[in-house]
Amino acid sequence: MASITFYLKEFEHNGFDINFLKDTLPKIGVEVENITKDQINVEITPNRPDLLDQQGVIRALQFFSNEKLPEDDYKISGESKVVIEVTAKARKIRPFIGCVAIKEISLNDQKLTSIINFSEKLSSTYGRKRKKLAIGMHDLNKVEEGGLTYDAGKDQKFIPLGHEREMTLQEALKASSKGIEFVSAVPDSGSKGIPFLSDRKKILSMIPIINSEATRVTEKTTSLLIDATGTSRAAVSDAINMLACSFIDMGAKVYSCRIRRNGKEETTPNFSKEKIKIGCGAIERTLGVKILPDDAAKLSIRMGYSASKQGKGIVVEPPPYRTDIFNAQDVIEDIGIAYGYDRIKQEKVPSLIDGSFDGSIEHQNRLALAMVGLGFMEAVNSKLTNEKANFDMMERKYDKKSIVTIAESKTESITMLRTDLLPQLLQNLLESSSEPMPQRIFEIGEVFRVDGEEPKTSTRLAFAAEHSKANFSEIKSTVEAIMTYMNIKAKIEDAEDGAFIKGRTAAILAGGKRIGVFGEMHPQVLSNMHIEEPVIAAEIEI
Amino acid sequence: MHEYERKVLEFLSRNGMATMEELEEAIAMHKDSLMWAIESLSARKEISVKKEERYAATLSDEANGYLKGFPEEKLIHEIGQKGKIPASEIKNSIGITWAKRNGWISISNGVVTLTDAGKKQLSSGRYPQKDALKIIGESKNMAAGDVKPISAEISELSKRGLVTLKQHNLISEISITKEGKGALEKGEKAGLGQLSREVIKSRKWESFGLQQYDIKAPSEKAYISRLHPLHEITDTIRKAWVEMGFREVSGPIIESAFWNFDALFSPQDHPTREMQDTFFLSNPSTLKIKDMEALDSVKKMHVKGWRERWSEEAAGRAILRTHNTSVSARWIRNVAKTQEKEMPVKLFSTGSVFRNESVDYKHMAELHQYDGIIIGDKLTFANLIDTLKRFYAKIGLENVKIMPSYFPFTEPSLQALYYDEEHGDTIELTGGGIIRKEITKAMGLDKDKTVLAWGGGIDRLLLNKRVFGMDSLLSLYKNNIGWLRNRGEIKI
Repeated sequence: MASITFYLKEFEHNGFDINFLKDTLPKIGVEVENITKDQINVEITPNRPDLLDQQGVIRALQFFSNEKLPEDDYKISGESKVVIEVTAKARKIRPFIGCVAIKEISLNDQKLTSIINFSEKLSSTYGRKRKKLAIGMHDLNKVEEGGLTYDAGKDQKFIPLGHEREMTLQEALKASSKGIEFVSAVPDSGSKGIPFLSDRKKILSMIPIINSEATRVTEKTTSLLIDATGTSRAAVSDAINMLACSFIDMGAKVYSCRIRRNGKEETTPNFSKEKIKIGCGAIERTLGVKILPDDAAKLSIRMGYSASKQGKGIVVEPPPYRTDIFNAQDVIEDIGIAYGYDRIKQEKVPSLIDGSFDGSIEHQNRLALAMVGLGFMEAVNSKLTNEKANFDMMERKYDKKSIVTIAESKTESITMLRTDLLPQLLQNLLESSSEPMPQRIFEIGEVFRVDGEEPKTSTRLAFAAEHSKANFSEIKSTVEAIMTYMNIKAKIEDAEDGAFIKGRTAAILAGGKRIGVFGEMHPQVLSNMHIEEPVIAAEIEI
Repeated sequence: MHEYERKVLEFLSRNGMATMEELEEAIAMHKDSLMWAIESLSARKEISVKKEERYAATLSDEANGYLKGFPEEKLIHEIGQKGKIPASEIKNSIGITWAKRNGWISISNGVVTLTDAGKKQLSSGRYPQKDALKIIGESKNMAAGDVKPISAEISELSKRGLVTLKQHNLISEISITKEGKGALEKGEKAGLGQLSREVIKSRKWESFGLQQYDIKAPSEKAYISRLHPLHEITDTIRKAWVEMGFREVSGPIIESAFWNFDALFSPQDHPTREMQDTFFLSNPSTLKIKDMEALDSVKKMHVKGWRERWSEEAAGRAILRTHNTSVSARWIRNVAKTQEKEMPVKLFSTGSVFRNESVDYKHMAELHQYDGIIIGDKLTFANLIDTLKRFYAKIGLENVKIMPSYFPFTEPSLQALYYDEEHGDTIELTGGGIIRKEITKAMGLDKDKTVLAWGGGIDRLLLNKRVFGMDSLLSLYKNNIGWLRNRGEIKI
């Protein structure tokens, strides 16, 4: 999900007011996050990069409300003179390039900013921080006529955009802030070189990092050359199509470019998309709604498709800016959106099967109620913890190999999964230190270990009581009550555990296996935790 | 007069005054009962109580780490060494926020440098917040005089969630008043107090009479024990699914990327699969995927669908599951393998899911979800919408709106939203859709079977005022006993 901000004014120019936006945007799958005085914040899902552009959203709204028809809108006006030769070096690093020439543009400050924002957003989200896709924009009138070259090198010189001095590609990678920011998008630049685009005389851009000052785009620019490069052929051609369509919406004309790669020639942008046939039966089987061919065609048109009736179904052609439409199912989803999800009539799933609860969760639930009956409050703690809280504070030793550890965490106090419940229960008691005593608390939950190379999960019950008269015989009584409740014939034996006082620590044995431990918490542990009253506690496998 | 009160007054009338410790030692009485007696006597002015203002301080885990250096100190130290750092390279977001707030750094064109104040700070190394934290860390029970000089820092520290300071009053001296002496005399003439087996059997009450109590006197508080609110709401949700004919299932929290992502058609280069968003494990770092057949068909699905290289190694990485849909994926596969005959199969699960977040009052690293699937013949989107609306109506959420959405594993996809008009609150209840045919095929289901699937968050329901009205999810895991004792009912 990408969060993005649009200008309300731009929507209002096209006749869409706040109320319309609040109501309609969610219906086309654009979630409204927040509206301020002059901006609207929305979430764009990753399948619709075309909506990262405000122009794209306006276009979708116009289609959706029948204000726009797809007939002759998105056409390529002709061929430009731009031919790009892709060298073998560039092909090895960043194989794909697409290009489009745009003419008859009237740019103002806001349009320029908005189109640059769109291409930045495309490169960072859809383009995975420029690794998969990056976009460059040049003033076409500042580019020499004739052939361009997409190559790679180290020592070629140019003035990076926003800089004053000429430098080599390699220098520019280190000296410019964009170079520092996106260095990871050109792996092995030392050995393989850095990709660049050049005309007969000069470098136009260092790819995918920074353009050259020589072809800087300004408000006065009337013709543009846009390049997209990357590691995915689809992402590159999608980006060129989306940008070209945005310019057509702004009233400009687009001209194609030729790319020569590995002895083959192709033309970009390519607006023709494969036609897709959809039977009305398939629509009904998916959506559960009967839709006639005429209506299906109308609904498709409201999502920007060219569509016509054919037999018992329709044939559609997706618009060139859509990157996510490959088969009938993709189109059916759009037909459903145009129909309106809220209009789809509910239909009950026919089924006579009985439902059932998970037996072990139910067992835990009954045990929880028994604990509540004994006067204990239930706690739920996070399964995430750290070695200090889980072991050190409890005066317990551990073997690193036996704990489940996290590779990299954004929160310092999260480094592992808990191996015991008690440490967190004590933390809860500390958190409650100013509340009236006695305090009794319990938790039933999962704890985690590594055994060999396999993770082992087990479920435990732990409980603790804090008050001035808390002692061994009270915890023993409670443990015995729970053992009786669980129908376990348990034996009690002397045990040693750093967390408890020696001689007031008991292991619980059932069927010869140790299933738990209880006793009086050691004053060292209590003072580690800053707990000031006696605490008794138990932890048992269930 | 209550028995407890009489004992306190008697002791004080013999001794004039006492400290709390002396009273505790002299009167064999539960501390809480003694406290209650003192409070009620003092409310009736029968004793006078001298109190001292005290503060109990606790440091969070984070704060204990900060004693060695605050993130903002670490950050300026790093910048000091390197001269400048691109903002995008700085993972220490807390450090940036505070260094910025303190005016230590400036950010321009995406590059962070030290300001003069920052340089000064770096050379002096004296940071009032850290000094205050040290003082608080050393003395757990602070007098008012200790707190005052550092009150500005304390307020910053507690806003950051590093320190909690609770005021409590320590009783230093208790003495009996004139009213107290009077009440004691009156009480002695007023007859028998606490009933006993002996009084009842011997009918002593007939000759001595029974004392009349001040029924408005405060009584000792009783506290309820109960289940945790998260447990209660989860049970409500489980019950609703079972009533609708769903079978409860479960699956592992420690999961392979394969079942969490790959089986659900999530591309291997997808941003959520990066370390910043998902908890990858270092021990065990990989998990064996035992279902070779599924491994092979999922690989084919990815290569064909995303036209990208697919790495088995990346699929074997051990993670903490990011959604309960991993459980659903495993169960779709189970149903396919066991060739269950009786259709539709309706399953649900609930459990913890994990996101690698910087934890604060808005973001939790562990959350809870419910997830469901229906596998069957001739299932449609209309069936899914019906199932969801029926479920939400069952837990009391009417007026649910269905809107388009996107997930890599479903098409068409939807989300269900609940508009709480009374409180002007919108909750995203669930995301769902029809599982892509590519996935059901890779899981080995018959071609004519359809799978409806959805998943929703449990925790966020507790934030809604109509349902429960928690202001921050952090309290959910703090388990403050006072909060748990006094919390309201869950209303779904």
